[in-house]
Amino acid sequence: MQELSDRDLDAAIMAAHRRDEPAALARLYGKAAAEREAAGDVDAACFYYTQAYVFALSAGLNVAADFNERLAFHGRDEIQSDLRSLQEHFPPDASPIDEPGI
Amino acid sequence: MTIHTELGSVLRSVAEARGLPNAHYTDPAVFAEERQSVLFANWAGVGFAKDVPETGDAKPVNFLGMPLLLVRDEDGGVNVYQNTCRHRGMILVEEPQKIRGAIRCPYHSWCYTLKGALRTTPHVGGPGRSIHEDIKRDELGLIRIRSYVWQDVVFVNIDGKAPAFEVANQHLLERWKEFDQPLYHGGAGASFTLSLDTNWKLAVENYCESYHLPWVHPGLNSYSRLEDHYNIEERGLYSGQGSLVYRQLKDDAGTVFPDFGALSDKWDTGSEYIAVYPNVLLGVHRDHTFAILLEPVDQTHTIEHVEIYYARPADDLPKGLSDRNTAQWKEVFEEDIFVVEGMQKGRSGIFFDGGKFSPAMDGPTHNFHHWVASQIEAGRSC
Repeated sequence: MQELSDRDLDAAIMAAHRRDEPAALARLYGKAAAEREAAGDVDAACFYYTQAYVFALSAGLNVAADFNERLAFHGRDEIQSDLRSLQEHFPPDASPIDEPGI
Repeated sequence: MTIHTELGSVLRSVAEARGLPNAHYTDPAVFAEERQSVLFANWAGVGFAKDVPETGDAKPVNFLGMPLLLVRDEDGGVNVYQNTCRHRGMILVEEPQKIRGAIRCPYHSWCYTLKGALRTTPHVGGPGRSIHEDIKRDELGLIRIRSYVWQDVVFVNIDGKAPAFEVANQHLLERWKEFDQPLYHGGAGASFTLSLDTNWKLAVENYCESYHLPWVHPGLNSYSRLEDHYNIEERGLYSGQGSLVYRQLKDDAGTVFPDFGALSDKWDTGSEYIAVYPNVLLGVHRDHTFAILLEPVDQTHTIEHVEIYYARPADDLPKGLSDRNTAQWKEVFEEDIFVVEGMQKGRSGIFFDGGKFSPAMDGPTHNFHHWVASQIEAGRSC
């Protein structure tokens, strides 16, 4: 994994991995990606967007479409047109996705 | 090592035929041959649609060592895939689970849709790059296994070469078209399994014939006598037995199960029990059906998966009656265990010659032997 500037975010991601919480991982990786993207580090951002995208898919979250769009925008993945309706078919994971302090 | 058993005597008429040689029940090499020529080359039962009732439900099945994955998709269809990632051959799903947005390989997270399409290949072109010119997703979807759901049984043709299910089973589908209507599984109490120390074919053979009923199921003598049964034999297709005196189960108040709709008079007191070759045993009655899926573990071990279905949802059935029905059938099927296991033991006798059929009573069993031998001969001629 590439080094995170935010040590708290890194710890939260590791904790979510340990708890096997894809919805939390999607949100946390998405946050890391947005931060790197805002800083102009596209490669790092796309690494995190990729992670976020996969976990959002796993959790059946509509936000997968947002991550997919960012990756496609940067030429890193193919656009998937059906992701907006993901949650219609797959009730989202009930596990908590909010991490205190993040 | 391939052993070419002699099958000419099996392919004779029932009056002259011998049964399949011992090796077809005891030899792992012959079991491997049957795996390919009999079970993979035809429409074999591997599971039940009721086990994947909702979108995203996924159930892995190991069928003769072949890893399969049953998945209910967004359109309500049941799909069967090889349960193997197209990337590094990782098993995709190891336990029954609800797939939410993607079938994700636990190794490198290649993700597939419920319809088997490869949705994304994370980091496949390097970190943060999920595309590569040599990774063509439309060529790398999950391997789909031909499947068909009938009577809630999920049938598959693994080698992909059999005629379409509706063609291969046209005669039986027509025979039982009146039962082509919604089935409702009886719930948790309507499922049970039996583990048998026998070759899978002996369970088929015993199911096909009524000859053994007075001896093995004496409890049936009082109302379902041997002479109330008839043989069902369709050469090259299926076989079984029918009864003319099916009696509905009643509770203490005289309440019976609701009937299936619009059945003809034949089924007022009629019932039929047919082996859908190779490994599915079905029974139909005016008020319930059952399906027995024979899981061949190896040449001497078989698991029977029994499921019972009704014309109405489980909550609408007379209270307690479905449990009694399950118990009744379980008792009958358990009474058969000693004979299918005993026939297995008997086949260690090196002088057993496959046995002599009764032309009057063993026609359905011989029909199955003839079909199996025909499949093996067809496999050998390829």
